[in-house]
Formats: sequence, C-alpha cells, structure tokens
Amino acid sequence: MRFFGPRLVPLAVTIVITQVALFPQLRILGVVPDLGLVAAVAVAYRLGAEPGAWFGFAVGLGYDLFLHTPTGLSALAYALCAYLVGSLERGLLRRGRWLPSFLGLAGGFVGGSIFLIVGVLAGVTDLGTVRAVSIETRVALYDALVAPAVFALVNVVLRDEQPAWRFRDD
Amino acid sequence: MPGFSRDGRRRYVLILIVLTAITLITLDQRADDKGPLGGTGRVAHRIVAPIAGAADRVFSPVGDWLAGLTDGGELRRRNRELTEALLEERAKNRAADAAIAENREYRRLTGEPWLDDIDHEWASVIAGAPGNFERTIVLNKGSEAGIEAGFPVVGPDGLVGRVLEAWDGGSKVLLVTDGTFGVAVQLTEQRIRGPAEAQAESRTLRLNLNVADVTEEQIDAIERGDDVQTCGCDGSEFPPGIPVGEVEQVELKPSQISVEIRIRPLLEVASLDHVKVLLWRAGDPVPASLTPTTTTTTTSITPGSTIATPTTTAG
Repeated sequence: MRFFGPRLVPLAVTIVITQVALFPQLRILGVVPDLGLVAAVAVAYRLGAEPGAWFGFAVGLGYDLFLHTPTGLSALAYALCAYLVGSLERGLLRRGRWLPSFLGLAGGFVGGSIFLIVGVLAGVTDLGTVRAVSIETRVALYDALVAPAVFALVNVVLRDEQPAWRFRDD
Repeated sequence: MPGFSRDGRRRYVLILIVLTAITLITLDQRADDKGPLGGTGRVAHRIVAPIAGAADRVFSPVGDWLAGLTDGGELRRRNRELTEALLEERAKNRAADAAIAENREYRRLTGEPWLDDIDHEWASVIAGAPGNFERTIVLNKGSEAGIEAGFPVVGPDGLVGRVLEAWDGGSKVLLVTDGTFGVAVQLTEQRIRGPAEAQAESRTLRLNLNVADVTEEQIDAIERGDDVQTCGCDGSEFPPGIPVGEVEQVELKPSQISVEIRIRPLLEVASLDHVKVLLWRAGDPVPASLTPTTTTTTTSITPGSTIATPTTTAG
C-alpha cells in the first residue's frame, strides 16, 4: 500500500482544528457536524478501506482529545465507518452530484450509531437515550450538508491519486 | 503463491485499529483524565485555544445568525418574556440593594464572609462544547491563573458548573445541565437538602427524597418557583449559598416511598459571556454561619394522603 501520510496528516490536523475551533460557533439545530467522519468516508471512497480506516482512526483520535467522552470512541466509530464505506465502494455509483451528500448522510448515521452503541457499552449512559438518537439524526443531516465541501477538499488533496474503485484486479 | 492476500491484510488492519481503539477507551475510563491521555488532551487544548478564541470573535455573529434562522420565533417569545421580567425586576432592585447592603454589613460585623470574599478569577467564555454529547464551555483562563479541576464556576444568575480540566491559558467547565452533573442542594424556604442530578434527556435537575426523611408539611409547602441553592453539605464540591435553580415540579412517585423534585437551572448558556471561577474546593474552610441547618422529622406520610403537585407548563 502506498504511503499517503504527507498528504493526509496535514488534512487530518486541519479537519480537527476546524472542528473544535470553528464549528462550535456554527451550530445548526443545536449540533455540529462530524467533519472527521465525513472526511474519513471521503478518503475511504477515494483510496479504499485501509487508508480510510487509518485516516478515520487518526482524525477521530485527534477529536477525542477535546471531548468529554472516552478517548478512542470517535476513533473507533470513524475507522469502522470508513472501512465499511471503503469495502462497499465497488457497489456504489460513480457519478452524481448527490453522491457526497448521500455518503455524508449514510456515514453520519452509521458512524453515529457505532459511536452511541460503543459508548453505551463503555458505560456512557447518556448516549443511550432518545435525546442522543435525536442528536445523531441532526448531525447526520448536517454531515450531508457539509459533505460536498469536504469531498471536494479531499479530492484536491489527493488529486494525483487514482480512485480506489478504478483498480478492479484484486 | 501463498501470502498475505489484500483482503487478509485489510482484515488485519481493521482488527488492529479496533483493538487499539478499545484499549484507548479502557485506559481513558480508568485514568479519568489523570493519565497520559488526559495530559495529551490538555496539551491539545492549549494549542487550539488561541485559534478557538479568534474563531469565536470572528464567527459568533454568523452563529447568532444561524441560530436566528432556526429559533427566530422562540427568540422573539423569549425576548418579550425577558423584557417584562426586566421591568419587574428593576422595580424590585432598589429595595433589594438596600437589603443586600444591610445584610453584608451585618455579616462583616459578625465575621461571616460572603461568597464574594472567596478567592476567585473572572474569565471569559471563548467557546462552546466541541462535541454534541456534552454540555461544556471553554474559558480563556486556566492553570496560569490558579484554576484547577473541581473548582466551582458561577455566573450572573448563579451556578454555572465546575471546572473539568485546566491547562495553561484555558479551562473547560462542565455545565450544570450536563447529564453527568450532580450537586448537593437545599430548598431555601423548606430547608430540604439532598443530591440533585442532571438529566441527559432534559435541562432539569432531579432531587429524589425518601418520604421518611421529610414531613408532609415540608412537601406541601414546596411551590413552583421556590429557590434552590447549594447546601455546602459535608464533602460537597460547592460552597453553600450559590443559587442553582427554581422548583419546576414536585411529584410523589407511584411507589409512595420517594418524592421527586424537578429543578429548572437558572443557567442561560446563550447569554453567558463572563463567569467567576471560585478558587475553592471541598474541605476548604466555610464559616459555620454559612452552613444551613436542616429541620426534619421522621413522621412518615400516611398512605392515601395527597401531595401537592403544582401544575406545570413547559419552560
């Protein structure tokens, strides 16, 4: 596997800083989007399951450092969601302006569900409430809203890399 | 040729990531912000804090505009209520100022310090919660100002929360409305004391009392709007006398052995710009005159007796 670190590390740092410094000021319906999750899904769609999972783990871990929830929770949710997207990308349509928003929405729901379930298992009882599900629904909608911009950013950063779905000879 | 297939490698990577994440979650839960992970988080906060402060100054109007789009009707209603309340409060202020000055002078004469006499640091709120499942704020002062984890934080209306963690240049405060928050309180009028816990599902605090610990007269005397303060009970993280909220509802549970009192916090996060961090922790001396006394009897409530449950409207 090629090493994408020199491109993805600055991207991950930028995503985390934007998430914790900027987006608390830009709440819609009381929530902030999961930029790191959307970016991980974008990387997985572009490069495949493994790079997506690593990127999701790294950016999720960076985000966890600023949260009151257990460190590693976002890392796990982002990594698993990105891995799933990267594994399923062969079955996805390649074209359509709607695809980033769809992946952002789906990733938001899947990643958010993993976050809630693992969080409850880890003892964070606040994540097992109706309010938590309502929050994750709104977050997923916000993810769909920001996904086109995040996907465009990832495409710019990885502009010289061929998308993973072009390599069909496993 | 046998080897590590691409799918096999991917599965190995996935397992490695999952195990690493679970290990981190476990370590973080055990260390509770005191281990290396907590220290790493404080360093990260310190690095990002200047950016967050700048973003707050630049993007607050944008955030307010977004909030206006979705909450416009609610804001107008709230504005009308606050205007009416403000006019009413101004009429009371003149008499209250005289009473406060007289009381302060009396306490000083008898050697009893006010809350104002507790060492404190003023701080500004520079950011809200970075995540969606916590109710926290970030302040622009931290360990360099003597602020430590556990210190109480108060605002213009009363209790704001307590410091979760502090770093050089900033600190994070857990708000009284967060689902993990708890505080020992007392109902000022009835002298009923107990632990109140915040609820993840709502903004209210809940105080559950055993009916054997309070009299029927005390419960009947509780009315919606009654003041609730910190009681400063033994081992409490907060000194006594800090306003916490108002009684919203009193309900006798179906089991007939406990009474639930719902408390609406006075905290208004949206309008919170400056707070006072009290440099005080549990165990620090508190004058005996500030420690409230409790008058309870062991008379049980007879089965079938009615408990006053004031009608409530959503707040």
